[in-house]
Order: sequence, then C-alpha cells, then structure tokens
Amino acid sequence: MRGALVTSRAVVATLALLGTVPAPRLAAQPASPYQDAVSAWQTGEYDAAVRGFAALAARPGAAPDVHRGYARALLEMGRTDEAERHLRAVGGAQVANVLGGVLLAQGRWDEAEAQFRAAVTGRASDMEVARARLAELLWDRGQRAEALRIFEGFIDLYNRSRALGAPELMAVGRAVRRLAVTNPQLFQDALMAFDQAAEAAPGDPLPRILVGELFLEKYNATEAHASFREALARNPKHPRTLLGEARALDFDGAPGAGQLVAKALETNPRSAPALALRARLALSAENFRAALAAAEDALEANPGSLEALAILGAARFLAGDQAGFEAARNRALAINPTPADFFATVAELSVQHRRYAVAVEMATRAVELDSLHYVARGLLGMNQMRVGRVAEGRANLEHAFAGDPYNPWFKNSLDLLDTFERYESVPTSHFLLFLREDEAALLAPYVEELAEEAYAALAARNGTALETPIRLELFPRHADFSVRTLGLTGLGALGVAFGPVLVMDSPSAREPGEFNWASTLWHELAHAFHLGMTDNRVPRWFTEGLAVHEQRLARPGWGHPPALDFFQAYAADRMPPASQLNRGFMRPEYPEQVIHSYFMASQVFAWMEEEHGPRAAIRMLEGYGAGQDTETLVREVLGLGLGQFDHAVDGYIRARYADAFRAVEPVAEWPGRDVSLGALQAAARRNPDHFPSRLRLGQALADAGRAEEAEVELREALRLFREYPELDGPYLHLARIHRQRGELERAANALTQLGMLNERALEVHLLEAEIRSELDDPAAAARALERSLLIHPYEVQVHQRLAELYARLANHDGAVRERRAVVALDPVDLADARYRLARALVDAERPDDARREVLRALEIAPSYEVAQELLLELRGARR
Amino acid sequence: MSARLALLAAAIAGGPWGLPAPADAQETHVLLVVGLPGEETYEERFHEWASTIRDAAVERLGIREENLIWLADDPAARIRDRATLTTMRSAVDEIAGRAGPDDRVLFVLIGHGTSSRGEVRFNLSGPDLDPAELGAMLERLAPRPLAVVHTASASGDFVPELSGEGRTIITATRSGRENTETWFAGFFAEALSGDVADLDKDGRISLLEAFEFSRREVARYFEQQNLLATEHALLDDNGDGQGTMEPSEATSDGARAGAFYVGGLPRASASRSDRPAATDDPVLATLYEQQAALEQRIAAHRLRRGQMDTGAYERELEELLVELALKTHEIRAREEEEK
Repeated sequence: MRGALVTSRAVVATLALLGTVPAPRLAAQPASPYQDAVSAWQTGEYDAAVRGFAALAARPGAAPDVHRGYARALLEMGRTDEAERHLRAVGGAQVANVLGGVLLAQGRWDEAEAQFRAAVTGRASDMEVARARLAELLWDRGQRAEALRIFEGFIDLYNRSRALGAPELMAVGRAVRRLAVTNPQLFQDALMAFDQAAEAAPGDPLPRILVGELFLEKYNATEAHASFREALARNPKHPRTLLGEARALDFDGAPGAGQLVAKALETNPRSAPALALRARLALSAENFRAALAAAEDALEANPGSLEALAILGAARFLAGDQAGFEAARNRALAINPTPADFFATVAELSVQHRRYAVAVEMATRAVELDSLHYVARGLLGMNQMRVGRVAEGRANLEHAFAGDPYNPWFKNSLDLLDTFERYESVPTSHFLLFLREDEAALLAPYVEELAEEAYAALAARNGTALETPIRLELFPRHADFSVRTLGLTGLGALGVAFGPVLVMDSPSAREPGEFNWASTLWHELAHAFHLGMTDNRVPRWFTEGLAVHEQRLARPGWGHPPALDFFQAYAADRMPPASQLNRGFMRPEYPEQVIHSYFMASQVFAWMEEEHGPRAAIRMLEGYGAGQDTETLVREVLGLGLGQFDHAVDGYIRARYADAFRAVEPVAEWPGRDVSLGALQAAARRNPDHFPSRLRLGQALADAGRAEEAEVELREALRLFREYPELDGPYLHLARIHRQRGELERAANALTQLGMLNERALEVHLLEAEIRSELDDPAAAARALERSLLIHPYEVQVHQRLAELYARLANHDGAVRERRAVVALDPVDLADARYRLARALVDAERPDDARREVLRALEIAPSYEVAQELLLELRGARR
Repeated sequence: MSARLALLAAAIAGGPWGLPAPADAQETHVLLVVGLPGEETYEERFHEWASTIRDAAVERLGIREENLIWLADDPAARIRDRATLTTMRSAVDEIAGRAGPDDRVLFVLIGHGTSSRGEVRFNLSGPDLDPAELGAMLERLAPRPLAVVHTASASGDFVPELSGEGRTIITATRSGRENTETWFAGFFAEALSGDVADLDKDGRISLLEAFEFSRREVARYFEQQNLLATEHALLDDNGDGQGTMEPSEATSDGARAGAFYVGGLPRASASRSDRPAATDDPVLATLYEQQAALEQRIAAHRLRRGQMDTGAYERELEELLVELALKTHEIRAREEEEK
C-alpha cells in the first residue's frame, strides 16, 4: 500500500539524513604545505592549489597523494592535458586511478578502464576507489554482470572493515547506490556511507556532493539543496557542486540554473557535464540552436560523454534530423551496446516538447535494453497514460513504483488511477468523455454538445479531421487533474492537451466564476488539432496563441482578455518580440509574463489572419509538421524576415489597442486610496482622456448614489477604453444605474456587453437573465442562462429557470435537457424533479421516456397525484 | 434503489423493522423551547424560526393549539412562559397528564448549546438543560412515541444519553465539538411549513423527511456561502446511541422517524392510509381501505428491488401504480359526488 498523496517534490519512501554530520574540524589540524594546497583546492583557490601541489610534486619522492591532488585540481579546472602529462610522468599503480579519471573525462573509455584495473591489480592505496570507478565504468558500458559482482564486494568491505577512510566510504556508497536497482532500501545505506565519509573528511566537499546527488536522484530537492549549499559555502566555485545545485533548481522549476552552469564553466570551461546541462536547459526552452551548439561543445570536450550524446540525439530527433539522431545513437552504441540511458533521456526530453508518442517509443526501447531502468519504465507508463493507453500505462507504473518507491510521480499517478473506478466513460461522435460518476449525468450533455461543436468548427477551420475518439477527461479535484498531467499537484493550468487525450478541470474543480470550462475545452481541442497536424512539433508560443485566437473566434469574450497590466508590461518593454515569444512561456522573466504571453501570442494570429488570411497559420502548422523552423516559415509563408515580423506584430498591437495603451500612460498626481470625491473629480479634470481617472470617479459617484453624474463619467470611461473586461468596469455600474431607473432594456444591454468581454462573468449572465425575464424576453433570458452554464452548471434553480424558459419557447429538447440536469443534481424533492422531467418529455413527444420517468417519480412518491394523472395519461396514449 | 428511497418505502410499508403504521387516533403534542438567545440577532432569528414552527404545526399540520407549548426567554403572544428547567418540567407534567397512551410527543429545542470537559448543555435562563435532565423528562412521557429535535450547537453529544427504545433523536451537530451557531432549525421550520419536504407526496411530513430536507439544505447553505460546514446533523432512532448522518437501511436508523408524522392532518388533495376513519360514507371508506392496501403493496414491492429481475420489477410496479392511480380517480369522483 502506498502512503499519502505527495503534494510537493518530497519523496514517497523518504530518503532522509540518518545522522548529524558534525561541523568541519579543521582548526585542530596542524598546517603544512600539503595541507595548505589541499585546503586551497577544497575552498576553490584553484590557482593557489595548483601552485602548491606543483611545488610539492616537484620534490623528489613526493607522496602519491600529492600527485593525485595536483592532477585532480587540474582536472577540476579542465586542464586535462596537463593532468595527464603529469600522471604519466609519475607513472605506476598509485596514480593509475586518478589517471583513469582524467582519461574518462576525455571520453577515453578503454584507456580509463585499463588504468582503473592497473590501480586495483597494483594494490594502490586508493585501490577501493579505483575498484568502484571500474565498476561504474563497466556499468555505464553495459557490462552489468561484472559491475554488479564488483559492487557487491563493497558490502563485504564495509562489513569486515572497522575503520574505513573517507575515500573508501564514498566508494562503498557509490557501489551500494548502484546495487539499489535491485533493492531500493540500499539507497539508505548509500546515504549512510556518504554521511560517514563526510564525518571522516569534513573539509572535502565530495561526500556532500554525493549526498546531494543522491537526494536529487531520489527526488528530494530540499535536502539536495541543503547538501549542495553546504558544499558551496566551502567552495563556491566547485563545478560539480554548482552543477548539482543547478540541477536541483531545474528540478524545482526555479530560475537560476543557467547562471550556475555559467559559473561552473568559469572554473572549468571544458566541463562536459556543465555543457551538457546547458544543452539540456536550452532544449527544454525549445531553443534548438543553442542546445545543439552546447551539446557539440560538450562532446568536443569529452567525445565519450553519454549524457551529451543523449541530449544531442534528443535535440536532433526533436528538430526532425533523423540521420543526426542515428549518428548520435551509434556513437552511444559504440560505447555501450545497451544504452538505456540514451533512450530514457530522449524520452524525457520528448515529453518537454509534448512529443508523448515519441516518449513512449523511446522509453520502450530503454526498458527493452534494461529491464531494471525504473525511470524509463515510469516514463513509459506516464506517457502511455498521456496517449490514452491507460491500462498499459498503469501496468508499467506499478512495475516502476515497485522498483523505485521513492518516486512521487509514480506514486501520485497510481493513487489517481485507483480512483478511476469511480469514473464513467461516455462515448460521443468524436469523443470518449471520462467523467466522475457523481457528475457524469449532469455534465455529459453539456460537454458533448460543446465538444462536438468545437470539433466541427476546428475541423472546418483547419481543413482536417483528427483520429477519434478523442479522450476527454474532466477532474472534479484540481489536484487530480494536476497529477494526471504532471504526476504532481500544484499545476496552475486549467487544461492540458496531450494530443488525442485532453484533460482538464471539471467545472466543479474551481469556485464558481473562476473559469469557463467550455472556453477551456475549446482551447485544449484547438491544441489537439495543432498537435495532430504537426505530429506534436508545434512550438509552444504558436499553439498557445492560435488556441486563444480560436477561443476568441468561438465566442465573444472567450480567451485571455486585454488586461491593463499586459499593456503596462508591453509599454515598459517587458515582453519579448513576437519571434521570441517562446521565452515568455518557457523561461518567463516574471510570473505574469506567461499570462501576458498568451494574450500577445493570440494577437499574432489576429494580425496574421487579418493580413494573410486564415490559411497562413495552417500553412505554418504544416511547415512545423515537416520539420521547418519559425524563421523559415515566417519567411516562406508570411514573406517576412523575423525583424519585419516583429515590427508588423508590434505595429498591429499598438494600433489595435491604442486606447488601452493610453489608459496605462502614467499621469501626474494619481490619487491614492481612500481619497475624497473631490480629489477624484480634480484628477478627472486634470486627465480627461485618462480611462482609470474617469472610471474611478464614475465608480465613486455611483457608490455615492449620484447616478446622473456617475453615468456621465462611466460613459466617458467607456469611450476611452471600450474593451475593459473586468467586472469593476463601466458596464456593471451602468447596468445598476439603468435598472434603478427602470431602464431595463439599457441595463440588460450593458450586461450583454460586459458578458461579451469576460468569459467568467457568471453573476453578470445571471443578472442579465433576471432582467431579460422582467422584460418578458424569454429567448434572451435563456441565452444568458446558457452562458452561465458554461461557467457553473451546478445550480438547481438555474436549470429550473432555464427549463421553464425553454418550455415557454417550445424548445422541448432544451427543456428536457434542463429537467434532466435538475434530476442529476439530486434535489431534495426528487419525485417532483422526475415528474417535471416526465412532463418535459411528453412535450418533446417522447412518451416512452416520459413513462419511465413518471414511474420513477411514483416509485419515490406513489401518492403523488399529478404524477398518477400523468401515468394514466401516458398509459392511455400508449394504448 | 437508493438508500433514501428504500427508507421511505420501508416507512410506508411499516418497514422491515416491523414498526406499526400510524393510527388515526394518534395526536401530536409539541414542546417548543427557545433557550437563551444572547445577542439580539439570535433573539430575532430564534423567534422567527420558532414562530414558523408553531404556525406550521397549528395552522398547517393540524396540531391542536392546546397541544403545543411554547417556552421562550422573553414571553410574548402565544408563548406560554419563560424557558427554564422549572417551566419545562411543568410542561412535561402537563403533557404527561393530557396525552393519550399512543400519542406522539415532539420536543423542539432552539438556541445555543455548549460542551466543555465532557459536559454538554442547552442554555436556559437559570440552570441549563443537560442530557440527564432531558432524559428524565422523556422517561416521564414513556412509553409514548417520543422525538427530540435538538437544533442547538453542540447538540450531538446529547445523542448517546437520550437514545433509547421508542425514541427518535435528531441533533443539528454530530458532536459537542461543533459548537458554533447552527442553521438547522431554520431549515427544519421550512420543512414543516411547506410542501418542499414532503418527499413521498403523501401530504404529510415525517421526521425523516424533515431531517433529510434540513440536513441537505444545511449542506447546500455552507456550500453556497463557500464555507466549511460547521454542523452535521444526526438522527438516531434505533436506540443504539449512535446517530447517523445519512439514514438508510444499512445504518438501520430512520425507520421510526419515517413513521413519526408531525401533526395528523394530510393535505386535502392527498391520499393517505388513515383516511377511512374520517368518512361516514361506507363506499368511500372501502375505497380508502383499498387505496391504503395498494400503497402498502407498492411499498412492499419497492423493497424487492434488487432482489428480482429489473424488467419484471418495473412491470409489476407499473401495474400497481396504475391500479393506485385509478383508485385515486375513483376516490376523487366519489368525494365530488358527496359534495
């Protein structure tokens, strides 16, 4: 049985510190030139360390530790040639282990292996370290049996030795960590060994780095940060520590990883792991050029870096370069004939590019090569879930979690899968709706209607069909949606498209008025088309912007609105140009930039459709599918260079929203909070064309009951910025003023206008419906209530009102749908609800359905006379 | 069949628990007690709820005015006396002396309750009412069918001590720890004052129906206010000392409450099983008897849902319901003739 839901990146079978590592005991050590050099090295004074070691090494009969320290300091700075030259000059088994490390950093696997073996057979004083490194090398090259045999020997070493030194303890930890693939509990033993090493060598950063790496490997970024930061406190320049912290930040999704990589490269410009991480970060941000360049740089430094080869392979594959991918793969194969990590890395990076089917394919290859690769197994399971292969996904996740019980993604996903038995599948023409059973009867008719409408519209717009059924899952708990998407809670989004599988919050997952489920569904389905048309190769900015544009075409007011803070950010040059909008999504510089990027990206398509017609976006989608990049497509489809493209979009936004830009222009003496009406009037007089000044005065006048004056100000505000979408804008105030005066038509029209600017205006629709009813306009009242249902369909009274309106309008099917909704909401008076449904079914000329419903009403309340009458009427009709 | 439906069916059928159907001769006696309100807001609110219950009982549900004793801290029109332990004891003595052996007695308590260090109380002027005292009052009225609807905060802790044979105990909260203001009484008053809680459309409100309506409306209230629910009503009528929030066959609570009707008169338009005694027309009396028998058969049939083929169940149900509907027609026609 699994434990409780993991709500953050804490671990499941938690890997925790087993003991308290005492503070470094350096002060008691007597100083010596060797210790000075070691100390300089350990504190990041690399030049001083190299100088000190060089002087000591030049002395006749220098101890092996001096030569090792000298070489390791050089290696840490990337001066591999010097390190190799020195060690070869010294020669012998005592320096063979360190020489092996220097050779390995250059990708010279065979030579490195020979040196490690030489250290072991020569019984060097660091032979246990060499043995561990030999086994790691064999492991990385796919020679698992021999590697495991060697690793197992370290358990004996630990058990029979009373006082191991720090290097041996670290060797034990490294060995046990690898053995943990067969027994996850051994990770705890690895941690214990590293902790003991840290205690034995308080000045050496390596044990802490190993602890940090182990924590990160087991998904505990908090403890990893603590370890890395402790090591960095002693040596702020240590490349491996900086990389560890960078990886931990990236794991957290926090900014700053790139800067730490750069800092690591300052110490060691040839650090293949640093360059590989730089490549990975660039690829995650969909910056293919930078990713390819950094991966090549890493391989130039270390042609045998399996990590760099995997990232290079992924970048090439995702960029559509199949031959390049195969070349990278073949290089990896030459090092390791079963390179499961290579395929697992490609799978992982494919997920970041929304290439879920590719992830399945690559993860499958990884587990075929290494059945104990639980990360790959879990990736396979998670992505099978994403492409709709739920049963297979679950099986693989179960398998992965058994081997990696620390993994929160697997655990959360399996917990969620346990709840799937409480969901119902409802097939429609093009969809398979997956709804929780307690709201399936209510939601299914509305979701089906909207989804099918969206499908028809988007298929027509894009001139293509999708493979169906499209699986559409709605989760009443936002945490479940988040876990379904990421494996973790905390996702801020409302919906996600994996391609043929769409998952989103059910309307009940959020407070009423927080989101418009129908608009969200339309957005996600638009993604499904874009992903389908490009084989998931569309850049994030493009598909997000086009999806918002499609929302806006579907219904007035849908999609991200023109918010004032966007125009403030844009005017302050806090938005990237159109051609670099991906940055705003993938590496936002401030939290709101993502939302701003949605709006701006949608404007790119508004401009594109206006200037180049609706086919332009489709032609670009086709181009992405064929592997072309944005620059090429902008040139070929739009006939523009990137600079011209940026300029054109900028011009469009500034012209289209000139009133909004004016509204955010700074004004002198903007009144603070809680100022008098007089101060607001003075501000409005000073700035007669300033929207916020007029709006604020209008609001204050309305609050003061000075309706006539308020109306003047509010209408002026409207003149200045008609599309202001928020509920505190002019329209709602005007509606109230008109209603108070009995000008119901004008009040209702103001509400209609506001409803067409804001997709979440639940109260506005309900109020409009009320006023339209007072105006005896049932059709308009019904339309307003329909709009409210796209936000919050859970109010019995709303469905009852809509049913009555539809009955008046002789829209019998509509009335039946609404009466069914009332029944689905399980009202207290269920007998009455069923009777009224039966009545609606009679009106809709569905006597058999009506008879069934009236029987259900009478089953609850046999004495219900009006229902008895209806039953007799229906029996008469049947006979 | 839903648990809710099964319970209503069982209540009508006499139930699998073998409870008797209510007899026509039974009367209902009500002791309505409004405790110390404290602030003016509560005084007004409690008075409004109590007034609604009083009016519904007397003017709508046919409880004789002399059978309803209303005690409140601030006596006014229609209120008999202040609400104290002494006046409560006197009222109980009066009911004990007046009520017939089969009459039903209903206590409704509105006000504030407290629970501290294992002691739970209903706040009155002077000494508070505790479960032992209330239990003694119930003993005084035994073995009549008794019900207590305790709507105050912290009322849940009364259940274990009051639970017993022949008693229906309803509380607004599930424990003494739910000790903030409660809304249950307002919805209970609404249940008695309209048709909304007549879930089986028989023209009467049983305590089970009133409980079901009130607890769901309380839940809806908190949901609509976007608040965490601070009260969860309980019902106990099987004497096990354990209240249940959702009575069903599985919990075995609810049967007695389903047969405990508040008041005696059905709506004029409703059919009911105890109508025969209300007519001198032998034809009509026979029709009423036949109607009652059909209702009993339907209720018994509903309990067989799940034990028989769905199609067969529904066919048989439909025939019974048609028969009942035709019988209602006959009754209405005869009633018209009589006029």
